[in-house]
Parts: sequence; structure tokens; C-alpha cells
Amino acid sequence: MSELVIKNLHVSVENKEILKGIDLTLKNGDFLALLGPNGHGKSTLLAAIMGNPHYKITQGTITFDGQDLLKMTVDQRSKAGLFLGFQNPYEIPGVISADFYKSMINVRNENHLSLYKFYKTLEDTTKEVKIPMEMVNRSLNDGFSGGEKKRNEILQMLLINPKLAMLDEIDSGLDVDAINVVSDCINKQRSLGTNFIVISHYARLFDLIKPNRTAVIVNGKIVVEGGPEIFKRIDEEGYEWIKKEYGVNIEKEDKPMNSVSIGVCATKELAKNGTK
Amino acid sequence: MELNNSILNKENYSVIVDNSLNINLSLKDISSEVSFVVLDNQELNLNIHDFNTDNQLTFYVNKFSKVNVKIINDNLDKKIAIKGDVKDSGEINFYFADFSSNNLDLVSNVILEGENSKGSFRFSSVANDKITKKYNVGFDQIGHKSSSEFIGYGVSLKTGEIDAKGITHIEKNVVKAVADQKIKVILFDKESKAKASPTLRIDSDDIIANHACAIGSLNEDHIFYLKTRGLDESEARRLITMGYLIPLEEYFDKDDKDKIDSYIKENF
Repeated sequence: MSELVIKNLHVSVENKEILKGIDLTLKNGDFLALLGPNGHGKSTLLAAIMGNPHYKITQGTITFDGQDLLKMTVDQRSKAGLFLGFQNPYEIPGVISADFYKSMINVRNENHLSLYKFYKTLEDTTKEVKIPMEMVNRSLNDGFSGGEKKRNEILQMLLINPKLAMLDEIDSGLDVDAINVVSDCINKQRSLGTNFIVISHYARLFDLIKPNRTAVIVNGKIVVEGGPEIFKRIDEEGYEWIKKEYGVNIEKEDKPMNSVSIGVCATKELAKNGTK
Repeated sequence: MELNNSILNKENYSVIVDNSLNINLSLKDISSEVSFVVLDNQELNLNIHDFNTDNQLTFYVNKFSKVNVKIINDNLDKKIAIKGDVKDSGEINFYFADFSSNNLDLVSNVILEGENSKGSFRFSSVANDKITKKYNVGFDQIGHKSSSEFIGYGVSLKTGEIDAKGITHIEKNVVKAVADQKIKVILFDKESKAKASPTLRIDSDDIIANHACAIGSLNEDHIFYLKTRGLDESEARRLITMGYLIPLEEYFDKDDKDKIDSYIKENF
């Protein structure tokens, strides 16, 4: 059993408020598709749940299985059962992947795995995510392709066996075959009882992993919640219908062009006079 | 083999290498000053473990010869002076692992005299509390198509200090020479200190030269990434720091790798 409860969550980055009152509850068996336009707070929500120090929680609460997450360190949150699959996993030269995986597993087990059992587990899991076993002897994510990095995130999820896995655009950079592999792994992990929050812009992934719930973040708030029909409609129609039906003005991510711009003469003319 | 009387000239403490050799050398057993003359087409692999307080090593590397010098620093405050002269297509490489809790003052000057001559110096070092480690590594490139490489990775702990200078000089009219310098130092604690200056003096225009330097604390994003997998702050910092230091191990044999591992673990 695991339950995540978020109440009135406000989060700022460098004094700019990104999340403006998120309420969300995830119960056992829930698989949430988290959608929304770019720059509206999806990744910020996952980072805040995991405890990224760049994100300041100014108001609200997050509890996980009754524990106050905001009083826990990042590693304590991980050991409590949270997992965050990064959109852009960091490259850490010199840290050998296998050493990292071993530390990751051992901090969860009082009785450390024997070397044989560790390598057997690693061999089986690399096969599942279709990563060559030799890659575990390379530096963590260093020189990995985008797809290899994402598979490496999934590999870590399988090794950790979390209660709640949060995957941030795990499908970006994956080719069709790799999406199928990652989906199979997610479905397998789901069958073991893991809850999920998955951010993606594409229905293809959701068609394969079949979330039972959808939430849409716009302007730092969850404005629509429902079942799979929501992400299907967004895939077909975009976000404009939310604006019309819910009266939400979708703020643009990009700032307007300044009156002074650097460019060739033609660009400056267009900026000044419009395209006509 | 150990360096023994059969090849050591005790009058001037020099060794003439006229066959390819692997030598384990303890300077404590012989002298503070030893010279190696490696004749044409020979290879010398030298493992040095024990030093005196003042040490001087000189290498004459003749044509088409190669010298690899692997050094694990032990527990003694010391000065080390290295000199080298490399002829056509000769090569000399230094691998210096220093995790001792002692002060070090190392000065190395290698002249890449011959065409296609090569030289490299790699160090991996930890300066613990109140300890200063000084590296002053120079290459003077006179030969056409000569190449040099200076790569240093260091970690300063507590009030420790690492001071690394690299000076590579490519002389006038030298063509197609290559020079690379890279120094990275992690300041592990707030009081830790480091100085690093990779310097290139280029008097020729048909060459390739790069230099890079980074001093700083550990990358907070990297630490966060490891913590999201359950590693606590100290374990995350230890793993990343060891990642800086351990790559040098690949140049050492199994016993020395184990020794380096245990030295690093003692520090963290």
C-alpha cells in the first residue's frame, strides 16, 4: 500500500512562483498521466516531491504513506519508496555505473547482496531493458546516447523496486523499439504494485502503459482531472479546448520579443513592422 | 626485477638500459639521485615505491624507445625533481598516484627534443588536512611533431591545498606539435584550497594546443542525482570524488591498484 497526498502546494524557483496550489492524491494502484503545456509546472511538481533543493516550497504539504515528506532528506524519500526518472539524467564521469548500482541497492538492504547475486541481478535486469552488460562498467551516463540514458533510468527503477515511480518524459529520445522495451518494463513494474506518475507529451507511450488517471497542469495548477479520455483528447485537439471549456488563459512560456533586438536588417524590420 | 648491482653503476648511480626491462625501484635502498639512459629501441617500465626526502630522477630516452614511470607516493614529506630528454620517436610517460598524508613538492621538466617525441604526466592526488601538494610540470617542445600531455586530478580535504602548475613551451619554428593540459581540483570542504595554472607558451603557429582548468566544489546536481537513489550526502560525495581519482588506476598493475584503492578509502 502506498498513498501520496499533496495539499495546496506552492513552489518557487528563484523567487518566481511556478506551482500555485496543487492538490493531488495518489492511492494504491493509481497510474497518473501528467500533462500540460511546456513550462507550466509538471517537472517542478516531480522535483518538489523528490526534494530538489533548487525548488523552494513556500506553502502546502506533501505526505507519503502518512510521513511528512517535507521533513525528509532526498535520500530518505528515496528509501521510503520514491523514484524519480530524470528527463535529462546527469553524466557523472568517473563514477562507474556498477559501483553506483551496488551502493543504491545496498543502502536499502541491511544484508548487503553478495557479489554473485548482485551481478546476477544486474545481468537479468540489463537483459530486460536491453542494455549491453558491458555498459555497467562505464562511467554513469557518460557518453551514453539519449536513449541509453533513458533505459538506464528504467534499469535503476527496476533495481530499486519503488512504491511510487515518477518518470519525467521517459519517452523523449527513444526510438519505436526502445519505447516498446521501456513500456514493457513499466508494465512489469506496475504489476508488482508500484504506483506511477508519468509525464509525456505523446499518446503513443500512454497507449502502451495505459494510465487509469490523467491530470493537466496549466499555469501552476491542476485544472483538469479525469481518466484516459483526457490525454486522448489532448493528443487530438491540443490544449485549446481547456481554454474554452474551463475559461483558463494559458500563459505562454516564452517572453515577448524586446523592443531592441539583435539580428540582420530583415529581422529588425519584421520585428518593427510585422510581417504584413 | 629489482634494481640490482648488475645494472647499477654505483659511481654515478646511473642505469644503462640496453634491453627492455621492468624494474621495481626503491630509492631508499640506493641513492637520492638516479639516472636512466635508455638506448635506442628499448622499453623501460619503472615502478617506484620508496623515496628519500630529496630525490632526483633523470631520464635520457633515445630513438624509438619508450619509458613508463609509475609512482605511488609513500608516507614521507619529500621533494622530487624529474628531468627528461627525449629523442626522435621516443616516449616518456609518468603516472603519479599520491594519496599520502605528507607534503609534496614535485618539479618535472621534460625536453621533447626529437621529431615525433612524446611526453605525458598524469597525476591523481589528495591533499589532506594541513597538507600541501605542489606539482610543477613542464614540457619544452623542440622537436617537430612532438606532443605533450599534462592531466591532473586532485582533491583538497579540510585545510589541505593542491597547487598545480603546468608550463608547456613550444619553441620557435616547431611544426605540427600538439600540447594538452587539463587540471581539475575539487575543494571538498569549505576551508580547502587549490591553485591551478595551466600555461602554454607558444612561439610557433603551426601547432595544436589546448588547456583547461577547473577548481570548485562538487556539482550539486550530481549529488542530488545520487541522493535520489538513496545515497546519503557523504556517500554521494565519496562516490563522485573517487570517480575523479580512480581513473589513474588503469595504468597500474593489480597489486598497485589495490594499494591505490586502500589509500583512497583511507582518505574518505
